[in-house]
Amino acid sequence: MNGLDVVNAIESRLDDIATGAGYNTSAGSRVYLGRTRFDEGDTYPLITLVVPDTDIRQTACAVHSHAMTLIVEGHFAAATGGDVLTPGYALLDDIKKALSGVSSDYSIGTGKFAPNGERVFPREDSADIGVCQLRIQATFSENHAA
Amino acid sequence: MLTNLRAVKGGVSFNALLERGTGQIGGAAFSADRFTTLTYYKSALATPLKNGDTVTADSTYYTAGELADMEKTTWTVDGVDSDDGHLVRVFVR
Repeated sequence: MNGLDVVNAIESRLDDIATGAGYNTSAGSRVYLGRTRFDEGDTYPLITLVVPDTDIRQTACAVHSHAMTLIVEGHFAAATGGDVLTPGYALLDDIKKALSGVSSDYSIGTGKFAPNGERVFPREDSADIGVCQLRIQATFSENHAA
Repeated sequence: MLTNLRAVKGGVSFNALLERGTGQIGGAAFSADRFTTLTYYKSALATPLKNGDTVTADSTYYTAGELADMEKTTWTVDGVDSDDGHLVRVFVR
């Protein structure tokens, strides 16, 4: 297992987010990997997966233990009146529901991950877009001898 | 983009500068977000503009044709951006 497997597994789960599948939004049709700039032509809500850091420790000759930090960030249209909490937590609920997996075990192959923080950012004055964030850490072993 | 505006608030007509621009909203990633600000001399109004106040284009200053050509003729204040005691800049929607 490696970092790409984790990213692909998380993307696959986020892709499931659709109102027709019982979610609050259909952000699953707009999941981006590593993209950090969005333009006026983009459609909201959207989700982008950013990987800021991975700690690696050698646990055996060819086996490395990884602790991968990932940020799942949602951007959404701020509601009339400036309420970002209602749409923000609705999107966060979608993200957590999708990531928890069918058995809510947060497992990915031989690895696993767990949320370790979430946030709906305060609305900027006059902003039409709100931001929510789920921070997760994935742990897995990468065997270079395999 | 900058535009001069003759505006009215509470029956008081005053000069203002309307500016449209783009900002960035985000945390780990950023989305482009349009904003509009209105800048005016603080001394022009007895009470500074605050959230929820409505400002309109001065219909006694502009002709009906000029008003019809404007994209918007009414703006609602949505936050104070800066106030140095002389010039005040507010976000409007």
